[in-house]
Amino acid sequence: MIIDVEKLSYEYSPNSVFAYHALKEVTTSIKEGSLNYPMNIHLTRCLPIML
Amino acid sequence: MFAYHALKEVTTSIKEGSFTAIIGATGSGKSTLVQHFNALVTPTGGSLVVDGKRISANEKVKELKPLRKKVGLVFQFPEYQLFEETILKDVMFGPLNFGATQIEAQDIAQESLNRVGLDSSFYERSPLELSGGQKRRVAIAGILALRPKILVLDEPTAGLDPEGSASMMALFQDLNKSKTTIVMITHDLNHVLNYATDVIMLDQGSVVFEGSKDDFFNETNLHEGYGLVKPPLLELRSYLKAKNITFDDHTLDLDKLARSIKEGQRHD
Repeated sequence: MIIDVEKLSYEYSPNSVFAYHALKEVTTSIKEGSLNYPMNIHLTRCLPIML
Repeated sequence: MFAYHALKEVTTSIKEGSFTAIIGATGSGKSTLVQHFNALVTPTGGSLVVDGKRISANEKVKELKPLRKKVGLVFQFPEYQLFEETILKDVMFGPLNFGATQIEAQDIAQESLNRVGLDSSFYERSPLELSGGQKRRVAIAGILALRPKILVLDEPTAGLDPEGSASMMALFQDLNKSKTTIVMITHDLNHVLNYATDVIMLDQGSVVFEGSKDDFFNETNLHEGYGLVKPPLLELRSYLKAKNITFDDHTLDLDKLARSIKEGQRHD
């Protein structure tokens, strides 16, 4: 076997769930060109968690 | 506090040299599982061993570079990640980061681009000039340039037209024949039927099937649920059965199916 997986669990922590959704919103907004003030709040909230 | 279990005590394995399809409904944990294969995410419980490299919960993974080189991960819509001004430079980026010289990186990039069917007329063009299918080929060449032992593909044909999709699948089949282990997430059971050797099916973070493609289609009814579309060949088998036509009802190959119908008619 080249890959063996045993009792592998993965749980998103509350922080990573929040960071994921915030990041998704930010990237979507950048793509749509609609990054606005509330998004800046999202960024300031999620960046310290991600970095 | 709120937490979400993407994977729950998953135990499974991938055979060396196999073409393994990972299937399941959206949110079943497929992408999370494959992201563990090159330690893009690390487990919160349990462990995995990838070509001898152990990754387990509560243990910091050291020396990730060899693992990242060994396991090439192609995300959905990889063409969004192209960034260099020319196609050749974009494909050279990986080998250069893994210590190749300019000349070595150029040779590897040219070989990888040829592998995905892009000749020298593409080298100096901007990735922006290409069609969607060509961009995806460049992105895949960028991963092939790392010469991965295991190629992990997350819905590699999403958004491609049927012709582009078929030629992309032929490329993966060709890579598999030349000993690259392929792990492919897909929602297309026709691709599973035509290209995979093995199947792992996930549902809500747990494995509900693991085994050969033949067993998946012949010994279970899993392909009939979970929002999956039954391949035309299986529809045809059901139709023939309903009409009481004699044929080999375990074949997954259209030519063999046609031959077995002929045989059956001879015996009737």
